[in-house]
Amino acid sequence: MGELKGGWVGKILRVDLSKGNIKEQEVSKELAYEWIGGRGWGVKILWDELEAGTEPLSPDNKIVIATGPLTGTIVPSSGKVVVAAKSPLTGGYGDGNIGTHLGHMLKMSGYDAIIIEGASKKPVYLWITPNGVEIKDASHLWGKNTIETEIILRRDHGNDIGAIVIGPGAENLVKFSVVISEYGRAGGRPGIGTVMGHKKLKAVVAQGWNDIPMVDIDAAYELAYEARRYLMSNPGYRKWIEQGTMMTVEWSQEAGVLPTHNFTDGEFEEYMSIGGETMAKTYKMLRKGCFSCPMPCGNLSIARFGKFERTWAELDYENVGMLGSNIGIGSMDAVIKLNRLADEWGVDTISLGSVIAFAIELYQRGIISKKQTGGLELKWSDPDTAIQLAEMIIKGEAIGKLLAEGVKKAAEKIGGEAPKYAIHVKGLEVSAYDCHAAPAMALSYGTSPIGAHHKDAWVISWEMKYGREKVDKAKVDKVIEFQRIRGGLFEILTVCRLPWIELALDLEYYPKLFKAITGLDYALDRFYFIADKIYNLMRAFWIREFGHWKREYDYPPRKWFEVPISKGMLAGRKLSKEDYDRLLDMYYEARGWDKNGVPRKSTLEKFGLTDVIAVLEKAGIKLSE
Amino acid sequence: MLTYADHNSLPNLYKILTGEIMPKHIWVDATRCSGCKICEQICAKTHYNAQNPSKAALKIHTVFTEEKIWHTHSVCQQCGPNAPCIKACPTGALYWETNGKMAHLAINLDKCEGHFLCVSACPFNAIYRHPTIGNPIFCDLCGGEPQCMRWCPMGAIRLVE
Repeated sequence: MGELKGGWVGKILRVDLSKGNIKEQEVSKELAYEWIGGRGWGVKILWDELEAGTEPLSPDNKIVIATGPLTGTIVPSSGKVVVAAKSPLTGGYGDGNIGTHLGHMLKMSGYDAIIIEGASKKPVYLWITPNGVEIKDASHLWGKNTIETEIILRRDHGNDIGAIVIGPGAENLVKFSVVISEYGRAGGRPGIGTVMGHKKLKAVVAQGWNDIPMVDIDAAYELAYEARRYLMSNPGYRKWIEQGTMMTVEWSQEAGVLPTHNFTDGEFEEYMSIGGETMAKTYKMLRKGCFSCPMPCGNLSIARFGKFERTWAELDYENVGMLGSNIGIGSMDAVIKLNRLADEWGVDTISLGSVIAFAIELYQRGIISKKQTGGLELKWSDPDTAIQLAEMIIKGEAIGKLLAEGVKKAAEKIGGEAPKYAIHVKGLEVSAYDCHAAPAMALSYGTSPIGAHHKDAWVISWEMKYGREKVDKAKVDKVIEFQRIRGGLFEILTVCRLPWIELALDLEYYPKLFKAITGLDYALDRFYFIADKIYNLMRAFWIREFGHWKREYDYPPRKWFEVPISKGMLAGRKLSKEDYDRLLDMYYEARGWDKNGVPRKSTLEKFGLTDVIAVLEKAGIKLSE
Repeated sequence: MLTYADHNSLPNLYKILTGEIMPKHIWVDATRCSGCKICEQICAKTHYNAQNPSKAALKIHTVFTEEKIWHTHSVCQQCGPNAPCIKACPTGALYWETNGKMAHLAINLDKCEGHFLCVSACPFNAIYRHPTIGNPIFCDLCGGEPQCMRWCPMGAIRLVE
């Protein structure tokens, strides 16, 4: 293991599916100390190893499945894994994190990360144990949905495994396919599942039994116990474990940010019936937590009434917002059904909700006709329409083939007015916060390094308290601070951010735990420095792929600028382009990027990214000083 | 009847029969359990000082079927001095231990030769064999203060009689 004393187990697995080669490589000191793990490794490895302009769905693209030094340990909520690849949905850098038992199983079988290269001709899956790594035939799994697949894997390999699998959506190359684990956990929104589907890699399964080395195990357990007690003494703890993220539905409704009818209304009359209270009282049947999580947020819910009775799914705010209110569905049973279908097929619930709502809005506005929809009449608030449309997307029938490309490409192909109603940033569909009147959150979506996603800077709750009207430097600073913490610290340590965000766990615990586990004394500022470095590298990745950069790419969806909210307390409000530009200018300035959002030479030098300067300049991109 | 049991089993059995000791065992409330496996981690830490849930004596299984998911567990039920594992041990390494208040299954590591007959004898699948450890792993109630109980965030683990 060389210099690494604990936390990291010290090896990276490299699998070439084209040739069937399996190789191991040591984790270099630089990779561990300077890039930590998770997202840091994802972007570093992809930057180093991918050629500019690599076709995302080709054997040249690579998938990085990375854990971090704290993953799979007693650290609260540490059962996370980052999956990264060049995104087929956006054409830029794409990653996602997923709560799964693969994290600790992978580390216990002796690997910190997996790099998957090439593409297999026939379906395969990876079976990883300390006794060896095998590329196994998966023809019996191909075509099966994620739940059936996982049941078969658990039957064949025993229940004590960690697995990420893909479903029929990824096999059919639906661009917003994700990887699914343990039935309801999903990750990799920018089409990481699609890349796996193209490589014909059905699953990655690990079972480990080796110790994860730790420098000071007693200190780590003591700190973890203390942190745990701190979490559980929070007055919000009880409500959190009852409702999890679902309590955001009611909050969003009150704040006027609940996405409704393709981000048109900002409020939804039937929000109570899809809210957290209703879920906890009527639908929730079991708590499900990720590995090592003292505050489980998995709401396994079962449909109680109507024709979807006895269907169950794991509910989250984003799923309910996008598959419920955003397509006007106010029935929890129908939402559970849609959520379950998305999970079975292995497609992203957020993007699925967005494309369905997009199609319905176009139909209602007369931009697409019955001929294009294959005779299907698209209307709001109708679960059957939504389910049929979703099936068409997965199977690639009629308009479904178009919608499977995501809203951005679909809108470009439909043409006319359509792009105005496509709710995305950089090609990734916006998750469930309507930012017509939330400029800081809009900035967060605009500048998120994978496209519109809330995992980087979820500032909306802070913004509501601070004042949604204000447009000032404080908002930009908050966005950057959240990006450092949520998109940086937590993504590189690869632990869950929810203990901090929801139950106010002191951030100082993380450097302390990091020290106890790895023996390295890093202050929070050092993690923030690494986070900023990673943001610059992710930005450089996008620029290298596109060959140029325009500030329009960092704009939120056109609809928020052009179409005001139709009703409710925020009726008539829309995002001001001037205000947004001011925020964006301040953001670029604070990040050390120029007017067009390209990192300055001095900024890249500050982070020691001199090789990045050389690559970008060679590609003909002008960097300002 | 007691020939296969350890020498100090007789007084224990007497105490149990007279109600002086009630054998207790770990029980996990499936309606509270979230499947986080913190109990497994602290179990392995307590007994082997390792970050390695696979060395735990208490196992949480999250069972997946098409219809539902539920969390179940397997842990030593502390059957008593007549336990099938004690009977099955060919070297007499397993015995019934008491510390006055608490009675639990224990092992004499000097006698254990690693036949693992106890593993297959256990009707609850609650004795484990780990690839890197030469003797069986089972719950010893941490000598009366089960750490899993202390650490379970959901309060799902209890000592029952």
